[in-house]
Amino acid sequence: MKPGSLLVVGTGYLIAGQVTPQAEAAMRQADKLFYSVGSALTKIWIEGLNASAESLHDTYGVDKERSLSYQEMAERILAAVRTGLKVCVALYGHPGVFAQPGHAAIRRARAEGYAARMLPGISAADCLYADLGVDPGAQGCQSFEATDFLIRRRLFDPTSALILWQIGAIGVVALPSAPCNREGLALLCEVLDAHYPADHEVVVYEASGLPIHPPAIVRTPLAGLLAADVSWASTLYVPPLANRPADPGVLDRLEL
Amino acid sequence: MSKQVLIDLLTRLSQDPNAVQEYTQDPQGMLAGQDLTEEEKQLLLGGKAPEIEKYLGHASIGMPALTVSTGMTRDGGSGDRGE
Repeated sequence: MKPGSLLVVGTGYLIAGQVTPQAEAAMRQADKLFYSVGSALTKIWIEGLNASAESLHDTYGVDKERSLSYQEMAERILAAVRTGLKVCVALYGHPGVFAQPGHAAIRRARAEGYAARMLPGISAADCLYADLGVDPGAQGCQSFEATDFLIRRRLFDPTSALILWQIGAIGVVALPSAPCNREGLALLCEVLDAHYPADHEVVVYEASGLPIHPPAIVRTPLAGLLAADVSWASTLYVPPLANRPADPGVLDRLEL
Repeated sequence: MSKQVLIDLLTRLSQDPNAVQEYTQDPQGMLAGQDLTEEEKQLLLGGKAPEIEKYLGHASIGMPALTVSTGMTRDGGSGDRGE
């Protein structure tokens, strides 16, 4: 194995409260620490952990496709690994859930012969389950990036829970120019209308980044979703419809 | 120095759910025991992260999206270029 290594860790959503001891140790001990977080308070905390800390935020640009930003992040990370440093990358939430740069950097590092590993973190989904009091195991749970859900006409089961990410940024490839792309949201509402009654309650959710501030939880009938307060960081939780009946044939075969 | 007290308090609250509960029940009481300026206390009571971040000298970043749907355009744009 070549000298130089990579650890990709998550910081969760609270300043320093949702980072695992493993992740914090990796951040403290790194020769070079990169980060991308959504809160300036978390940024201050990270920069206090390790003097080498460097934000990846400057890879974003107005009118610049985010996929190019992610490519630049991965390249910058790999450049540091290639110099033989012990590199850590800290991303908000879980570093591998709806987060492309960490996975990309790990794949590249391994392909080039470096040790590379991702450590689990607390994702927005984990916060959502806790804050809304829902169990994804109760009737199952499906999870899609909202644009992907629409453009590929993803098949889903309305009798299982549905989580759609980035509903304020449907069809947006660069940084958002508005808090919410209402045209994209309107398209999403049309698709959901075909599967759920108009009075089906849905939840627009955003995890809290400040311990003294509650998470944003907006409950609305589906018919009111288009007018709801939706931001770039909003997630949509659609509770399941009434459960399917158990299949008698399967019950018989399982001797239940 | 005082700003560090503010940062330390928010960090402690992030790590201690019982302290958050105590704060929620009596924010004025908890803040009274802290070496914070009146402005800082009001910022905390306001509970708005962008204003606290501005006070600390950092512009609010906002959640930087870390994923984008692949193949979002007809020509395959925004495809797996993060790979």
